Amino acid sequence: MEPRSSGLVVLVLVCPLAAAVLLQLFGRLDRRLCMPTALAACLASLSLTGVLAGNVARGMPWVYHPGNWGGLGIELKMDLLALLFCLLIAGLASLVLVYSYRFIPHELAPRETSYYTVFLFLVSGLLGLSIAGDLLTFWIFMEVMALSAYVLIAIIDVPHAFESSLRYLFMGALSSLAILLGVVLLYGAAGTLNMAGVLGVVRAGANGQATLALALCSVGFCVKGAQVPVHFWLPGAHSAAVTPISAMHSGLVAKLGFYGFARFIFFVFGTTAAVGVLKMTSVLQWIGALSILYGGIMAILEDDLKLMLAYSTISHIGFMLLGISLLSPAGLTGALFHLLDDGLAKACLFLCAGIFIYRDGTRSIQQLKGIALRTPLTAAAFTLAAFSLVGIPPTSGFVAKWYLVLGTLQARRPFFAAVMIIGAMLAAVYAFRVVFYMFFAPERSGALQMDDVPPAMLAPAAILGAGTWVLGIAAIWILPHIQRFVASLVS
Amino acid sequence: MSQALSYFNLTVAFTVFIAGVYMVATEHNLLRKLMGINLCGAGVLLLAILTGFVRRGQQLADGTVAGTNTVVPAMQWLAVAGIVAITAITAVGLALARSHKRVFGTMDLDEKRNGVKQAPPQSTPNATEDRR
Repeated sequence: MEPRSSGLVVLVLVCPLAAAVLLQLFGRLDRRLCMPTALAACLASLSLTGVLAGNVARGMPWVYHPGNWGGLGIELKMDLLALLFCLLIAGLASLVLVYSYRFIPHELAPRETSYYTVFLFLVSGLLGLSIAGDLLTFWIFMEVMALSAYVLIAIIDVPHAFESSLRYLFMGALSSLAILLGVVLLYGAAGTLNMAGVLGVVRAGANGQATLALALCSVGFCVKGAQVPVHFWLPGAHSAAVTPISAMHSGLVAKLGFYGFARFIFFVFGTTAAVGVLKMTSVLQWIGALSILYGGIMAILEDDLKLMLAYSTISHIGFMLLGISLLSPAGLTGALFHLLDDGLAKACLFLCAGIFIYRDGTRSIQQLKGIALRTPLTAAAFTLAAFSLVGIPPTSGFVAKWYLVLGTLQARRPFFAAVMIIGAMLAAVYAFRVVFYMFFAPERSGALQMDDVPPAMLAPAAILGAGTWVLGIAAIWILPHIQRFVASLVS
Repeated sequence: MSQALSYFNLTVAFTVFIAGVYMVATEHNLLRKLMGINLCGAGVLLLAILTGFVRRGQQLADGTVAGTNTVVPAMQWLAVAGIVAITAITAVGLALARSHKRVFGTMDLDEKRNGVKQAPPQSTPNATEDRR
């Protein structure tokens, strides 16, 4: 249907951006005002996205042409893919900000203002790249996001964080530049930067420059999504960062690898180009499958809770990549739903890990034995999210994995169905191991006592944990919209 | 643009780009790695300018005729955005490298691993940041 123009689209990303500038200018006057300002900006973005949601769900995307520079093809576009990611970004960011209110003064008191400022830049970068309708806007916001991500990892002043952040920076910068090189090649092939314009030209025929661009962008997004041969930056970066940032990285930033593939395969190159040239989708299927198994096995071997979750992130992005590269309707539906589900579950698990660190100062899984007696609510939230991570009905993880496996069968690749089921079993081993230690390990005993952590930290984790179950039930209403959107893509 | 010239452009840009990747992959010194990223960026920007180059009298996408030898606006935009982003990456990288030097006593990853240089005792953290 005909897209409609609205300035609200640009406001979605301007809210956090303006708040970031305000905080940088005035945040140091009163540190207590930083978190409410940032939270207000994220909630404003969330409600604006909600206002736009109705029409997008009915199949009418919103567009906005800043400055009406028609010749350059600059465009912001809110379609269903962007809408899902925007809702997830704004929602998760709000909850993580609430969590940060008590956690950040505890961990990095002198840098509170900088933390919130860079955090808002990260959010606006993520929102901007999800609603970008042309290649260069996408790239610029991706860089805004990536730069904030490097800084937020290193903001905690420990030696390990500098090493991890530097490794992330080198990998991230090289992948960004590879994607930029791809963008230049696409401009050379199509003569426009607008995604819809490029799609029209590249679809027409096999083009050498476009093929090269596809290869470069694929490599770039594989690095961004930490898939197997180029995954090594992720575990260090995610585990070294301060915990709310780990939640943001694992829930949103690493998902960029998947989001970029979804954007570029369906909206820039077109499925025929992606399938026909270079057999790109077959290569991606194998990369995804390898990542599922590698991430799962490494997560089982790990004793550090945050490192375990980081490896689990690699595994679950592998699920999404495999789902999308099968190009079957059910697989795509599953992958898009998994984007939401894994965002909630991973953020919840990281926030719970943060509560354990805050309370006991421990990150070792062995040390969590019997902790459910001392922090029953946190342990319960962790367990809710762990169920979703494994994919047990009626959680959202089950819905996502159901459709992913269905997708492999639709594409007549039963081997990958087996890989996914093994991946889910590996998830059961590493997630339920922690749950078992928390609830059933006999080492420590004592009277049951309620969590003595601040409610501002407990509430976001509990909301996210419950959210994975609510989303699993709300899938009845969400899935038809996703399926209709997917049908328009793969037909 | 003729086919041969376009292949020449691609070859030059990719040579510079891959030289940069090689530098990041093999150098041990953090500053040299950062220079490698800049070299990569130079390759990309070079290709952007070569791709967008139009001669005087040639017609542009919006129908106007170029009054002079120039580069199309889209590629100028891309080059400016690219320069800003690469500068920002370099700045963040240099700040991190300085912190690395403060903590480990060296910017050389090999020296750090082999312990050639004795790391000095850690100076006070936050020496310059958040002074306000």
